[in-house]
Amino acid sequence: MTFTRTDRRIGRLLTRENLGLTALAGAMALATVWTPSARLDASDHIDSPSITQDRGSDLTDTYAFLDPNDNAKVVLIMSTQGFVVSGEHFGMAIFDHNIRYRFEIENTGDAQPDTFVDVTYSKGLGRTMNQMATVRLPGGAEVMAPTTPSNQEYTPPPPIVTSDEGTRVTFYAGVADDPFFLDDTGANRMVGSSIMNPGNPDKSLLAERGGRDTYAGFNTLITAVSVPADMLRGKSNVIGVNAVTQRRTNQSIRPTGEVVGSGDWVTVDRDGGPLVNNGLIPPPRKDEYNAATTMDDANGRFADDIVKSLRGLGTDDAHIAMLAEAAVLKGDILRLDLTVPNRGPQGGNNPDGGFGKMGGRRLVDDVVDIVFTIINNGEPLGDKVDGNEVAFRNEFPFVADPAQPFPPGSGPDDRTRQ
Amino acid sequence: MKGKGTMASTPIGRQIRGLLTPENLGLSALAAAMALATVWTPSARLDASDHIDAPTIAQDRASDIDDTYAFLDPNDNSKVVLMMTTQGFIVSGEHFGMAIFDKNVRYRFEIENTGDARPDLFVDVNYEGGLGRTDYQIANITLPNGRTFRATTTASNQEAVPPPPALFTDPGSGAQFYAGVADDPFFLDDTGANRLVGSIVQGRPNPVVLGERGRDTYAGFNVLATVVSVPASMLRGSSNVIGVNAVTQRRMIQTVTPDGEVNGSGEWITVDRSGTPLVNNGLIPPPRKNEFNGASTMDDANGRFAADIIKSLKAAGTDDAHIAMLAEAAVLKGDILRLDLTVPNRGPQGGNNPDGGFGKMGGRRLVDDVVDMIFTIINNGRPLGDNVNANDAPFRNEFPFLADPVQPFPPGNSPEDRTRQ
Repeated sequence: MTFTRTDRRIGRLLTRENLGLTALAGAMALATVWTPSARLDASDHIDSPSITQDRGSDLTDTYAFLDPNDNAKVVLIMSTQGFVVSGEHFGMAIFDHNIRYRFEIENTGDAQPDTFVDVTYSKGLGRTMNQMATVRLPGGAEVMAPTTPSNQEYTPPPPIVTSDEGTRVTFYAGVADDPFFLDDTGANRMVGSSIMNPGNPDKSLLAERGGRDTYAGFNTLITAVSVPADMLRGKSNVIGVNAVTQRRTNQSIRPTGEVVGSGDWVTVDRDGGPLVNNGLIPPPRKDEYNAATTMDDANGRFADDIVKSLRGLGTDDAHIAMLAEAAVLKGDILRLDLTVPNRGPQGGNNPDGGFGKMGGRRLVDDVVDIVFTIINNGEPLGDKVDGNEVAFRNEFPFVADPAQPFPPGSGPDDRTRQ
Repeated sequence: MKGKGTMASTPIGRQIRGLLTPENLGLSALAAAMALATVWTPSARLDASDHIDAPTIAQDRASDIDDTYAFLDPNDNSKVVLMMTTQGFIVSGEHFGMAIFDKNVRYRFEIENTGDARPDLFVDVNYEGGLGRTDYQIANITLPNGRTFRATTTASNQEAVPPPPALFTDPGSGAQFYAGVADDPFFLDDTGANRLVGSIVQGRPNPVVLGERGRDTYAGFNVLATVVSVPASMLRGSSNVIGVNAVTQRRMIQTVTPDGEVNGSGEWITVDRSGTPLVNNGLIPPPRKNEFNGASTMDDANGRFAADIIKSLKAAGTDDAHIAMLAEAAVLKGDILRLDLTVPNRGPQGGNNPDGGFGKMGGRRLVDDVVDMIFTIINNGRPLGDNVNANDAPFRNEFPFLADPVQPFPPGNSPEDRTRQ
């Protein structure tokens, strides 16, 4: 995110033609009457009205990073179904057999996906029963692997990691601690103030609670695939990752209570950069945004809304341009330079890697503070939630064990931080 | 469940013995059923409410009915309060995204008033639009006499104090309506229940694990509540006993449009149901849970799930007399919550007189510890409970009786909120 040739491109984005406005001044005038998203969440949990009702499809976060133990491998993680409660593992921890969990990979520098890593699951019944995943790789190879079943004990079962020798692909799926961390109440309140006072939000609200992690103590369903970087690399060393959940167009409810899909696959939720979807799209267009493509982004379909939201938050043109470059001009896609080293524990934590350094997004990266700081025109702004409530693993699949039922007692001594 | 141990000699008792014949069980003999019980794997989950009770529901949380309540208004026993909770485990910090009623769902109270398993009347609620955040929705309520009225939901907020409930009274019918996000009124240590059932599955029932923790799995979480109060005369039929079954329904085909909306078409079909606080989540084996949700109360009475229910109970060690009690309450005349309109309901928090409420033909009230009552019957009348005996927050004394939603907690990063996972 440096001011180079891309700035001139962004300058073009900000012209009246691309904005669909009579002039940039017009956009600024509009900002005073426009109501931005009443929610600014740097992940993607429950980000639109349709997703509220379709929790099976709810993509909560996307991560992509080089394996810190072997930088020749790319780890792709998507978390779905946020707010899984430990006492309800038996009912909640089921991957939906009607969903295609897809990683769209872009490797030519534009907004168009070039290759895919797809995961589907066999029908699940929950309880202590596992499901069988089918992983379809670029080139058509398939790997079958079981999920890790959940339990109701104080200690979870160890993760079942499947390594396929032929493809050198490693897979894990199961219920795990939600790796995301944010005081979403603080974020919501700050954005609320930007609605009351466009251009002058009360930024003190973001960290006012001193850092309560809305996602602490809750689990998610994790789909994690590690693949050789060579499998994804294109003509340059930079790849882009966008996770989507897709259903068949028609979901038919049978008299037996089963749901059967038919028709074309259609995207229900998507999550590339940890910002745009939940953060900058106004409520009436959130469903539309989820269903749209990264090419739609690049074509400027949502550019007006994003610029308006940022103006409401007081972001200046230079920083709007930075964010546009990262998440609009070439699609809302998470970029990973395969030559940026990733080292250290918990999935990697070297300061010259990770999010903001073209190193994709790692589990430890405080994407919230990084994004809010850009929105705040480079002045440091954060929520005081600076790490996950539990440590991540040092090896694949890197995610932490799920929160489990707590020991006897009626005190509120669990990990949640509402 | 109005009596204890006297049923075998009554006409109903004879009817239950009829249910327990080999023909109705689909088995060669009751002895065979008992033999099977030693090898059969019952439901690995015994939850006395209905939260996330089937694989389909795990994905379709909008349709997830958590609990059904029906009781006389303690402040005016000529009114019946009907309540269904949906979308369990709403987190306060996510009100803006989670607290949306689904415009594609029909929230229906099936009312039975002739003493059989067939619904006779309906109270239907559907909601328009819904963008979440601080926007409210419009509810359309259709009463049994065909009268309709519109009311607004109570919008949620992200502040320390929630907005007061927006109540609406329809002048034409006297019906009262509330819908919004509220504290989940259900209370249970579901981990304890799951572990107890796990021990049954392994053939070593260990009742101790049920009350070992005493942690309320539902504390600190909110639900979407749909509450309608109607004059009892509007529901009363040939006797003073009515039955209530809550269902959520969608059109058979749900189409995901290119703009990310979902539209329904075709016939209405039931996705989830909750009558008595027991059968669905508790006694149906996992492979049939979706089917149970999609079935009708007439299917129950026709014995479609009777063999499964009896097997689950036998595995838990429940004797024939207590199986018969539970069958009478939730199978023979459908999985329907019964409310005798002449059983008085008095007291605070939606009523708490000991001679009313669940188990006394007084429907189900918010304070009723249905979990302990049902586990005690399953345990052949010997007291068995989970050591969670009340909700984590007191209920209101007036309509809609529910407690305020849990709201975001004050500054500090200690785990000082109300959750009890």
